[in-house]
Amino acid sequence: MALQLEALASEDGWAVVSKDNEYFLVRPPYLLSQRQELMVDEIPRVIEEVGLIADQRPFDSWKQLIEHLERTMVEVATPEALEKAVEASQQLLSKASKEDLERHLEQLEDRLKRGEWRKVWRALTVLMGIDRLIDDGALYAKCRDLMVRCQNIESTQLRSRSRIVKHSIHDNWFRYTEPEALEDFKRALVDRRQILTVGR
Amino acid sequence: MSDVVDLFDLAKNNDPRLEENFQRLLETASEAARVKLREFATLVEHSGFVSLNLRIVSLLAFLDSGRQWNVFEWAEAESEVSGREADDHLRERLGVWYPKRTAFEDSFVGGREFHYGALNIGGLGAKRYGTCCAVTLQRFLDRERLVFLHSDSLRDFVDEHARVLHDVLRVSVASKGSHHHLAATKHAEDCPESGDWHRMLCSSAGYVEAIFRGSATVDELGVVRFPKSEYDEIQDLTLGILIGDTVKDADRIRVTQFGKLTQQLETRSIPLEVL
Repeated sequence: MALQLEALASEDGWAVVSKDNEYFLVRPPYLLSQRQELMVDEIPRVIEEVGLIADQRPFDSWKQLIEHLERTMVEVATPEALEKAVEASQQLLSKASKEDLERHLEQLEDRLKRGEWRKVWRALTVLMGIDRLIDDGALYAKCRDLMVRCQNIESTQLRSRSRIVKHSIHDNWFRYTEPEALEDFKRALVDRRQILTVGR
Repeated sequence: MSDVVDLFDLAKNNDPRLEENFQRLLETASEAARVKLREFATLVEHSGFVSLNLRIVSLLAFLDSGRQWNVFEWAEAESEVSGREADDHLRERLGVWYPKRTAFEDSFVGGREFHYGALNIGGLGAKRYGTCCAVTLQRFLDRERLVFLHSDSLRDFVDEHARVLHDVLRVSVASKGSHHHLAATKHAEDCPESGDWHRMLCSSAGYVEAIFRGSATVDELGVVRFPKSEYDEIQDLTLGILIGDTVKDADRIRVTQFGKLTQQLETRSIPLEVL
């Protein structure tokens, strides 16, 4: 397989790549659907208009080539470009349209179904800070509903965890029937700063 | 260079022929086709603008500096810094495509000052050159040094030996005022009934090329259009970043770049349309 990088824009990872005499324009996030085939005649125009720089080097696989493009992008970026991602995210999210917010909430609902309630909760608290969401009755209600569902899952998990702890002590109790063993068990509890619950 | 000609004069000389061709088409077309062609030509005449497809970082550089740099201007600027010949920078940047790339510009008066765009009546333009479709204002069309070419100049008007096909080019170029005739005759055969005309006129698959001398300026930009699929992906990344998903450094950089772009556009009151 003759896979070769032909030209690239190091700042954002756009590139012209050739493979077995076919040419492609690729760009992040490098989905197959974004890969555009180019005729040889089109390459000079693409190089100028896209703003690429010739850089020919072979690669063994698409994976390696994409890793190289991403690595190059990070290498040439200013530290600020990475540091400001959170700030940029907050800014972009604060300008999200109603449609964007609806989509986010739908995706969060899916993630909640997959059990990611902690991340969903975190996302919802971020979304609750967006004026457009608070001002929109339906979006706000949806967000609240998801928050309640997160809380319910959390409560269920806490109850279930406390049951596990209780059963564990109860089971251990019967293993420590000898007085000395009981003393060991109590010392172990003190060492672990645990509380010995009495009763069931 | 013996064959250096004035592209803008070529266009003026060809305008009457284009109008003639258009009228002939109307005369020979069926009633339905005639109506459709007229409608399409009118749309292009009144709603056709010049668009520039740019990557996010290219548009950011454009907004920062207030102008665009073509490859020759870039090489000159590099040369001033490095002390090396501009042509060396050009050869390095263009690699094996240097001869073809330079052949077109060098065969026209002021060719190295040419900038390129496309005739656009809506949509995202030729996305392969950049996902940001910056559409210029109406007054951009009043530029004196602006012509329209049937299709991509390098692909269709320079042969594999880096020779410019002047004979074909002189009948394929129009100045403003005849650009709608050029577009209508180009699409006389493949023009659908309605709907998708904007994509037919301008997409990565093909376009009427706009060639102008001297860079576009930021105050000539009217709107920037951005693909919804890419916008959604960035929105997803933003939420991911804020809630602690694993997001690659390269993607974080993309989010920062897009965030910066939206801020810059807002500062300059240039709307961002997501399509």
